[in-house]
Amino acid sequence: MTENAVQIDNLVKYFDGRCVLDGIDLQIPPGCIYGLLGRNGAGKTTIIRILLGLDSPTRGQTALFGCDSLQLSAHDRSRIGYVAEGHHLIQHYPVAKLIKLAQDLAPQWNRELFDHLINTFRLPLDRKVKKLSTGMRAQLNLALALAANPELLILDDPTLGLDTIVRRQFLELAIDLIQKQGRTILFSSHILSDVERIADRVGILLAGKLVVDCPLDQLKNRVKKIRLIFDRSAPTELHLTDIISQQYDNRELILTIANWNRQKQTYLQTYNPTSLTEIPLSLEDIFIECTNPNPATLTIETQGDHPC
Amino acid sequence: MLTLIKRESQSLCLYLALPVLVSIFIAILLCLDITRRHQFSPYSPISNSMYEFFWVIAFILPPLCVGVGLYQMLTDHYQKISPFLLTHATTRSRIFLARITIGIIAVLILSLFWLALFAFLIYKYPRYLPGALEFFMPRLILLTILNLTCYSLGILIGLYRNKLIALTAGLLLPYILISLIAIKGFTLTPVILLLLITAAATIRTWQKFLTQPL
Repeated sequence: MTENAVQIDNLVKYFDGRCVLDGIDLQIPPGCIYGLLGRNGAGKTTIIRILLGLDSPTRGQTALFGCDSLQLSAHDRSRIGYVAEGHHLIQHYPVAKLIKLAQDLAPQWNRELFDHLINTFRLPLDRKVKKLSTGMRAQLNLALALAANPELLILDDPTLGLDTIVRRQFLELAIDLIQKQGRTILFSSHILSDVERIADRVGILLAGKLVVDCPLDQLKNRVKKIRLIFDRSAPTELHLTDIISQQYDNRELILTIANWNRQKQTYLQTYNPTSLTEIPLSLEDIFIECTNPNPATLTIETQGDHPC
Repeated sequence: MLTLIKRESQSLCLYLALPVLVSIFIAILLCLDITRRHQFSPYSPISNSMYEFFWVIAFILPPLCVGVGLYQMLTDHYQKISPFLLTHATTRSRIFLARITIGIIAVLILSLFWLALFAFLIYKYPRYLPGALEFFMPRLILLTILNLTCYSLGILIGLYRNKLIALTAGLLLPYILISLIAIKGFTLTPVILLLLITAAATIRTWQKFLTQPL
């Protein structure tokens, strides 16, 4: 059996008595591109920090390549690349010195790739890191992470603060490298169109729980927004499970339903609507519905075990 | 590991410039004073001047050694050095080992500088420093141990990441320890006590550094 690149079991984290992560279970198999979504403060960065051993869990266990996050050896760390939100770079170092340090620490430094990236990004080697723009810091961080040839790349909101052009350049480069090299990627972002372009599996964090964890296509198939129009006023009570949200407007009823299937459709037909149409949902729409401040208990059921 | 040691030494070079310059300045004053006294009265003992300078360095070096530890840990925190290093092929233990290796070497260089200078003066003026070797050497060795204790307390306080606590403790702790030596005298008891404090502070720092959020 193949070892998961990322394994999280019943992860619980409290900050000052406040529960930030509440029993997270997550497995990411090798080669998967996993998009981790959630609102600000949902716990995405905390999960990533715990995975990397930068913070410790209150309860539960996390492992990368089968090794406990708190016990990662230098060899295990050499298999992981990390682009952090805000970019963890030594600010007072000149770029060239930082590169030299990263190169000396990396057992498998891909000089050719790194030179290519530096030339593409046109990074000034003599300038101090703190004098670089946010975009340049993101590019430097990505170049350093990729040049170490990691098997697992963790990107924590890497495009935060980047303008549209730099963001697009960053993503295209990332996609290109991903496709060429088949790496495992854990990607957290607020920009859902980015995740939609890259991820083949997504997880949504809500109030410390992982309420969605399934392939992206399945998520789109399982969460549906349905518009029902009736001759007379729409029914106020529907005995239907997994309703994420519902809006009434006299004869019109708009429902967002999780775990959509034929039975639910047949059930809705029994109310004899004059029309039943599906409103297309983007990942962003699904995310907004799923992270609604007052959602029904939401868990998207996955259909069997779905490796990426 | 060598890369980390190299990085730590480069990082500490900036801070070490201050104690090294202070030490050299005091050493020059000491040598000038001894030369002056020697010329003025070639047969008078010059141990007084060395004794005065011993207490000067005993009051200056320990706070500077607390500063070495504080500087290492606070710089690490404010410049986010460990989080960066940990995203590469290294571990917290290696970072810590490299850090204290360089810290201890720095403290020993500072202390050995004075041991060497005093030994040189005792060698140069044997007639005018009767019993100086027996008198100064145990004190200088104790001072070296005190400096190591101050360094270990410096790294421990630095981990708490509070500049006010760091400043207060950095100024107070060395003098509390010096008072302890003054009370107990230059005997084995303060040596054992200082070694115990050093070991306890280092182990606690290690344990905290391995587990605290970065």
